[in-house]
Amino acid sequence: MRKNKWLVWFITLCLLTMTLSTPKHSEAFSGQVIELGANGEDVIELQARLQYMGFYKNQIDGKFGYGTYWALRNFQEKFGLPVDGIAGQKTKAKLVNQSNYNKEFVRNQLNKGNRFTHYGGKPLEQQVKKGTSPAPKKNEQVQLPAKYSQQDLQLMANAVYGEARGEPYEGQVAVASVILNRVEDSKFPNTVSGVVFQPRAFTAVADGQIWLTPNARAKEAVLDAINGWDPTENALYYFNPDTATSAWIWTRPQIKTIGKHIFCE
Amino acid sequence: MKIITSLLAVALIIMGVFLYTSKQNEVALENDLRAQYTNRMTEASEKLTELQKSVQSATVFNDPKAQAEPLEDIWRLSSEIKSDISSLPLQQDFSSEWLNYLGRLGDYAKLKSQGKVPEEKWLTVTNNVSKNLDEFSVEWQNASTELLAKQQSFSKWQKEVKSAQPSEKWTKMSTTVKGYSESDFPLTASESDDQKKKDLKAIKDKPVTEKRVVKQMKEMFPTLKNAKVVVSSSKSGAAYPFYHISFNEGIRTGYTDYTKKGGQLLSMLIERPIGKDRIPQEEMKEKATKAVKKYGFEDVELVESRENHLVWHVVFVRLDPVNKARIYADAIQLKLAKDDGEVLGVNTMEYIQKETLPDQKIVPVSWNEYFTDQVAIQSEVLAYTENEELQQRLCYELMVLKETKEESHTFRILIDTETHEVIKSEMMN
Repeated sequence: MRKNKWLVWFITLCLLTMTLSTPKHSEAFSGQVIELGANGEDVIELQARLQYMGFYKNQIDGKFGYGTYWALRNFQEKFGLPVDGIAGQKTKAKLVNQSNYNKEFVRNQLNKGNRFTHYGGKPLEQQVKKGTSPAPKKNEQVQLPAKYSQQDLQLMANAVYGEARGEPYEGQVAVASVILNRVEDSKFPNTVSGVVFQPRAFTAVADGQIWLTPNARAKEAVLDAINGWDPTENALYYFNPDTATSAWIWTRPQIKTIGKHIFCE
Repeated sequence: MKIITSLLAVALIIMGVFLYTSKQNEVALENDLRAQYTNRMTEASEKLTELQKSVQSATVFNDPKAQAEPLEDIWRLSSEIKSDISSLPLQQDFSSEWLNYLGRLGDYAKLKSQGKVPEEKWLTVTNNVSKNLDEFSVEWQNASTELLAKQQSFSKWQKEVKSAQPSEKWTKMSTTVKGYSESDFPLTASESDDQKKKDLKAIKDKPVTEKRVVKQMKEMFPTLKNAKVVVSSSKSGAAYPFYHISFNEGIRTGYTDYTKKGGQLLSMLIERPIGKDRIPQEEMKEKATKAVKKYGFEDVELVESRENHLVWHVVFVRLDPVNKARIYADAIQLKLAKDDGEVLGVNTMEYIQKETLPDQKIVPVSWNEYFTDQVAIQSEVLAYTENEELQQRLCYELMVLKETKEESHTFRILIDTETHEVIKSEMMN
């Protein structure tokens, strides 16, 4: 009986030690190590905590860009941590010990699309500027190469969905690539919207199908094209041989067929 | 019977009102569009006259300060006419050639304003341009006036622009402008090199068989070892011949392209559902680095990774073997699944078109004098990048941080190591 009592005490002591020694951060941050290029909940918390202490000055958006990177390095330098701009367990633990994070407030503002900050020492309700449009949903947030905007992505997704929603994935990436190839070519307008809305350039613009809501697959296809994939091997035109009415399009040098479309130079 | 007749009468009235309203809407829209097209067409014509004047003025002055305004006008007007033309429903071939000519003229004026065109060459080219613009403007005025007159019957214009056989006048104009481009702005050596590179002219390897590339694909991407494949060849108009492999293996579908010469991988994409698990970023980077090495690209460095909701997009660039400078034009892109880090895409188009690099001096710069004291340089490496004349230049690649009380901005700035000219300046997200 006495032996059992000691055992119970020992287990209780172990559990207590484990609870106390577990860093506070495990309740908040995930166990993932995050760095430049990351995106998501952990980055939102990282930005909010860095802003709480005045290291991070930009918008809290969940994207680990350079603003977050330099802020994190400055924090690491100040608190004697290895300065690498990477949020590992030690850095996260230190952040949790040194700052507060009002998750509910931050999530609430992000969902409402408000512009806000999360500085310490100032009432949070005084740090909200109400926005006019809802913030993108979590799964719609994307990180693009510097020369492209979210509007480019949206417009191209509309065009791809309107033009090629019945095509294989490769065919959808291909349509997006043609738009980008045209933007780069001196014979076409040099913006995505200029290319998409060039009269008679795309059937989907003429028949209004460009205004259909694109699905996730079309967006994914555009994202791949924006990131460099071009299944057309530099095509500037494409057409459906069953429906094309222009005789001129048949005179273009053809590169390859994907789904129902022939891609040409 | 009476009730039915009344109901029919009411239905007919409703239909009549509906048809009338629709027709009115259609007419209103047609009028709006007609007004917009007329406005754009007239603007393009007026700006063409201004452009002619600016080209003439730019040849009058020798003094760089006096020349600055007409040069700026040429650049601005050519860009504005481009915008007008691209928003008009004109014959496609004509639009393309005219946009190309205007773009080249604008770029040339910009280069001149930067002192990159010798005076003698500038005078020769602009005298030609001026003569050609004079000739062209007469044709343009005639053609556009005729088109505007056709708008009296809007449907006639619509019919003409949609016609499979374009009118002779516009086809002739398109040929004329193409001729102007070739005579006034022939391809420079760098542009020609750029085109050769794009057309993979440098690949001299021996052709490989279809069977071999399929085997190669299955070895490179083991998840596809049992895939069902359909192989086709590029069409005769392709600048370089390649094999196109479509594959399907369980949940995976996609394609790969391999050059016929040497069987070099051009690109690959897999589409498959992504699970809810997430691998750490560090593990993803290790997998990406291991993958590029396995594919045989040993001389590359990971320079960028972007997490999106289902996948990671990762960029590698080739390193110069001598000075270890990054060669941004020789890049490889990888796409990895977030659930297990499987490589879902590879793009090596740019990497296999290796750049010819210049032998260039590295002249030290005092950054304190170069930048204002509002900024701090966070890192400095060497990198090759393309300038406006499509030449590769060795640059200092700087990450520059500008911080104020309210916000901070990071710039990636590439500065020529020899001339200290800013080749590229990007604000990073």
